[in-house]
Amino acid sequence: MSATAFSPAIAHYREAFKRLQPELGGTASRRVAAMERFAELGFPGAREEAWKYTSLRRLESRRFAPAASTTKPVDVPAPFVAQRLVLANGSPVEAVPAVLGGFTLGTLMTAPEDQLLRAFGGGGTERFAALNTALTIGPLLLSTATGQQSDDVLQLTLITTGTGPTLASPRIAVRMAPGSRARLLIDHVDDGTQEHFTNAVLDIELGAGAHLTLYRLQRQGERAFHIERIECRVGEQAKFVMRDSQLGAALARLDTNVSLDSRGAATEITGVFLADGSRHLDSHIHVAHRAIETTSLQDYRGIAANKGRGVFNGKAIVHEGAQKSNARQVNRNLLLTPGAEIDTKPDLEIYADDVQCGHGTTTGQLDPNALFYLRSRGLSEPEARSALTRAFAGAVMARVDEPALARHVHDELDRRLVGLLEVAA
Amino acid sequence: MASTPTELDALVAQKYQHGFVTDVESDTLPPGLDEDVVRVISKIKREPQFMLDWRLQALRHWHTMAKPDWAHLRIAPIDYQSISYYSAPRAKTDGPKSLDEVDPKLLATYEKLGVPLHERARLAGVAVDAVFDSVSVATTFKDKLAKAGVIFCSFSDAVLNHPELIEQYLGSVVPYTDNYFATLNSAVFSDGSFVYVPKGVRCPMELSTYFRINAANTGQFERTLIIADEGSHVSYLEGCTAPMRDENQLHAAVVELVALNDASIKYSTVQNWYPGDENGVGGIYNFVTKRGECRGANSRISWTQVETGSAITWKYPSCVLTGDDSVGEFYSVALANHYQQADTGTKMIHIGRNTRSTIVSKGISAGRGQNTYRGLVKVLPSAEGARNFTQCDSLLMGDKCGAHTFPYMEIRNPSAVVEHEATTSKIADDQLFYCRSRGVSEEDAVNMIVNGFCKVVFKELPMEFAVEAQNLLAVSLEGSVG
Repeated sequence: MSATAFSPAIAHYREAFKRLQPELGGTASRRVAAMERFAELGFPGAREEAWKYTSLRRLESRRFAPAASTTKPVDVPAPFVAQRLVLANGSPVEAVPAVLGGFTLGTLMTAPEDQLLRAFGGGGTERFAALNTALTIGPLLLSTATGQQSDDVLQLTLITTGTGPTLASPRIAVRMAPGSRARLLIDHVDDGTQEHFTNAVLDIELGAGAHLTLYRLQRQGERAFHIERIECRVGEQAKFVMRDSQLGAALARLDTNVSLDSRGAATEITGVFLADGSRHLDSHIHVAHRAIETTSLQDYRGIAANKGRGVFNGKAIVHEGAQKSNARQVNRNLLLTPGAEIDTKPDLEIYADDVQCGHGTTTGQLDPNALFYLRSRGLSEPEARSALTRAFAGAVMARVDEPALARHVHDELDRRLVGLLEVAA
Repeated sequence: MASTPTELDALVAQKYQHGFVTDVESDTLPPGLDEDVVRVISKIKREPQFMLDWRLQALRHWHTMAKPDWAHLRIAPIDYQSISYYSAPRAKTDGPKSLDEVDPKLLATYEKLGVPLHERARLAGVAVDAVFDSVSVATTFKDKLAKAGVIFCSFSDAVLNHPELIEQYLGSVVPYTDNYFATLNSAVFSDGSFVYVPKGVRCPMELSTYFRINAANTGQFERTLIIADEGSHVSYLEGCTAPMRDENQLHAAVVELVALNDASIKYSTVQNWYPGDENGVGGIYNFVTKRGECRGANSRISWTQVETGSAITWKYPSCVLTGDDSVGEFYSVALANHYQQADTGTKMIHIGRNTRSTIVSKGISAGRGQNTYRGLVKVLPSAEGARNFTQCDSLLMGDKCGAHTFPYMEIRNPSAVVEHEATTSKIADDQLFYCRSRGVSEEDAVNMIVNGFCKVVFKELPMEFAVEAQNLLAVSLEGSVG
């Protein structure tokens, strides 16, 4: 393909990559191949099924400068837990300690590159994972030792910052050794001064019997573009738990792909999103049951208001031979005001017969009877609405067992809902 | 689940019952598709100019379209130039004036199929329009229907006798630009049924069409148009069969329903096209566009379908709920056995206020069958108070089959309530064990359980069809347990 065949946006990123390449670590050919893959796939078209409800025309029209070197960020939000590492545009802002919060930490200088920069095929976000591989500047490897048990939480604050519109490509690889247990909190923020583009990749592997809880908070600024791919492979009797809260960004797309590779592997993915203002939040979850006795639960609660739009696409595939599997999907949505939109698509693909699979989804408004009851007890309309909306999200939030984070999400939901509901009432 | 293998083998080997070929002379156009073919079809039909123009417009548009490939289906390439687009039983005279003039072989064919075409049909109380290959051969009870003011005739007759209705309504629900197969149909459709129920009339009997593909290398492209004027009611049934042939045959029909104020249309289908043999050779490609528009306030359209045949079923009977307080319903049983594939479901487009829709879909997969439910519930901002309930359940029999659910929900009105539920499971061992312990054979037990699974849909069918549907399901499933 000649360079002239590329769209202006692709050409822009290719040229930026060429300029930046000398300072990027790792094998040049790996980075070049990834960039070419991105160029080949290009931005998704309107007719691509994985992007049916999310248009990236706006993102494609912008020209972000890929982040080059570390700049000391201003105003990093306070940590939720004691052990925290801050990464600016994907690169650690301070010296990376060898051990922190139950994980051993490695960088491109100290960890194997094929662990840090693994390629992912397939799915709507393959193109962006490839772009991330090409441009990431400080990939981080978190690993555990066999049988190592930790109740600590390691928080990674990923901040996107820059004086002009910046593309940050943070990349975290997590390798859980057999029988180990750990908790990780990833907090996505930005400096709020500019329109930035964060393109994150989280690459997780769980050995036999390992257990990882991932808390995810996405609270980027009102103008942010956020695209993220979480790829997780779960080993025998291992379990991957994710607690997701999506509150920020102008346009955010999250692809969570979980592969239950061995007998007894399990995953539990729960989340809440608030698409208010003109926010567009798109969550794609893809769980593949590839072995017998695998279990999955997906439970997302979405709230949309104003001109906000929430998109949920949960998919569970039970492959041939994955007998005795159990897949559950739940997606409940609340449309608070006219003008908002929810698009939901909970898919099941089943190729084995001895399975239990089900999904349930609802979209609607607050129950008028419940509202009336609370009003009859003396609550004002906004108070009653706020209480019911909190209860709606509460069913999922109750599973967030990291108190400081849960409190923050609750407070943030409250603050924004009160504003919303007062306007609505 | 064990049963004697020889018994099961015999059952598996059971042949498709409607697979005979009737040896009637037919006038068939040579294979191929171009503007001349369309002109010839239109000329044979003695159609007015507006029909020919419409067909040609459709054909020109079709040439600009790409074959859709988004369905969860594996489809062998179709050579559209190798299909004959018109085949009619050779007319002895100008056309049959009454049943006596219809070729006895044809009547015998319908006899074999159990179509109540003859006068004895009076007992069944069903008026039948039978479509053989592409042409409507006989319509019964015309007089009685005419007394009530109901027009029930072949599409060609309607074009000749009621061109103003055709011109007004044809393509008003499924425009010729709609999709690849609907566009192809618009260009080459040869016949079908037409129903018009005037204001305030409750159609005195069930109307029914039987479709049969007989000739080899033909496609069947029929078109059905039903108009229920204000305050009227009509119930319409269709059934279909085809001979066993090793090549795949294309059936690309279009059905358009229009319900005006306070009108209701109930459309039931028992589809038993030849599904191919147990190795997946042959069978009908059933690519059909069915859509109804509840154009008036308080109108209602109800689709009920039992899909047991066809190598590939690819259709989504849909309701556009334009009128305020209108109601759309979709009840479906789809079975995929051997190598059958089905990608079917519905679309409910809520536009008017307080529109309601119900979707109940039961998918059964056996052998290497692949069954997909795909549905769209769309609530536009104008659909204040819209309500939808969707339930789709899948039953898996065997570890080589697949059951898939792809529900799309697009909600843009905060007062709407949309609910969707789906489950996938196999026949529980304890249910089977219970039946077996009561002395019920395994086959019968499976039939009972499957019938129970589908009951909520069967009860929506008119009685005579409900019985047929149950029997069909039992035959289609024979041998799939073990």
